[in-house]
Amino acid sequence: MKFRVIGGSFLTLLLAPVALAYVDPNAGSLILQLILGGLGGLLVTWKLFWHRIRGSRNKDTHR
Amino acid sequence: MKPGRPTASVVYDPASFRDRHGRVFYDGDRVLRGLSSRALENWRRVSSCRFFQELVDEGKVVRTREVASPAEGVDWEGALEHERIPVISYPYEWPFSMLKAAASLQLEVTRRALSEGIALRDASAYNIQWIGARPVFIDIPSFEPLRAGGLWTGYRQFCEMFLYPLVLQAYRGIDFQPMLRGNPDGVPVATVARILRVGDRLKKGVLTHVDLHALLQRRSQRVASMEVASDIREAGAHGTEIMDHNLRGLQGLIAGLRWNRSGSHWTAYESTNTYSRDDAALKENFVREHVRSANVVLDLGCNTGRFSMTVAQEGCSVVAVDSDHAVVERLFQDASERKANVLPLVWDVASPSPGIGWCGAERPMLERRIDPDLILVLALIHHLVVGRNIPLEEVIEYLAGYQADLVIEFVERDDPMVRTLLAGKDQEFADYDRSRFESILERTFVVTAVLPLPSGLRRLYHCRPKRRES
Repeated sequence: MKFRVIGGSFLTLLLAPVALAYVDPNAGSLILQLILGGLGGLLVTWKLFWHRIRGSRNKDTHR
Repeated sequence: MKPGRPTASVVYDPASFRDRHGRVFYDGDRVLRGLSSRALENWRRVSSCRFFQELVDEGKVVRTREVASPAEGVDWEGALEHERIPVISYPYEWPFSMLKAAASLQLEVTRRALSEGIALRDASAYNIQWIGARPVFIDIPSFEPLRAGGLWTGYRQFCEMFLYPLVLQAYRGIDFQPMLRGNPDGVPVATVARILRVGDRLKKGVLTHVDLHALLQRRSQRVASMEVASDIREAGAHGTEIMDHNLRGLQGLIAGLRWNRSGSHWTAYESTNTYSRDDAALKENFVREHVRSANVVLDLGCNTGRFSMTVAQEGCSVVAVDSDHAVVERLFQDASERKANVLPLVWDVASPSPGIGWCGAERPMLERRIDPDLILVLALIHHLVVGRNIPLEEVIEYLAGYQADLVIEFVERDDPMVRTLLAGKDQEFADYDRSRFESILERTFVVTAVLPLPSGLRRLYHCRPKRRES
């Protein structure tokens, strides 16, 4: 459940106008590459989530 | 001239329109590609890399050179000239092992480029073509310098165009060709996730590349990919390491996929057919004798490709087609092992793959992609006339449309195979008759040689189209 909340906020925070690529890599497919990407992938995944968590905490503190 | 082929002036390839930085065009027999200044700069960097030269020398990337100036009337910063691919074919015409070999090449090229800081920005199965049974990567502008920390943008496309069709065939025995013919972009992950059963979830790659992939795609439907990509880049520069790890994993997954053919009626045909030994030897000699002057030969209804291989030994380039996936699969394995100049395709002459994609012209029908000098039509006519109910007259008219020589076989009504076919139908097929066949054939062809086989049940003809004679 916690994962869903964090995952959900991570994704919704990323809502932004769509930039054009030659082939749309798909956000979900990119995230999967991180999850499957060995140690390097795990490190980046952790950093991303940590930034998001810290970002939301800071937001809460400023309110 | 066949539609879609270059005329005397420049003609753009109907499939080359997606990239704003380059476009393939023809100038007579030459295959050229106009490039923007950005694409030209990329080409110069990529072509100086060691991996690129090695792949070209190994025959895995199409031989390409920069040419001084684009042809007249074409406005590009620079141009490349590519080696011409004899016959363009599409993934929905390939058997399982061809799609698998193409997938392996795509991964190998991507990995080797990555080792020198070059990324492949997409992973379209249409970027792989064939010289005989050897796969070649053709889309040179796909190579571009890697952005630090970036991930493989072609991963989703690789799954949809290579991995999922192969998984459906290997794990469920479902032919992927009709799916790829219906959707030129490949099989979506949601479709594969619904088709696979509970028991398949334990098979290699399913939980991750299918189920988790489907879940993540569902959850990120409203998220812009480019924003995620930029977040990932900012979070750390492990892109190359992650990509290489995943590519290696995919190489292992693809290599382990096997399709256990459950035994097609036709794979056993070579041992169960109704030929006598004398008939078979004489037939082979007749075929050898009449294909010698041909360059490109189309073998219609090739079965396991016994005659395709014979013809290739005579120095011809052969396109061998059959509607039965299992026999074409076997022929590809033979041709590939023996390095024969045979391109085996899953293709039904009675229901050919239509033109698909943009304007129906992006991927034209096979008849517009080949220009054979000779067509082998061996033991096929009765399957079309009796088996598929196509009037004999229309079959001959169709063949005449190619304007090519024929080596054609007529099998008598008393032949056991024809009798079996007739026994399954409630019509008499009076048009299936040798004298009628000969008179229809002579309307559009000049018969130059006839060979009745000793069994008295089969007769071979060599003929030339009348219009070419005049």
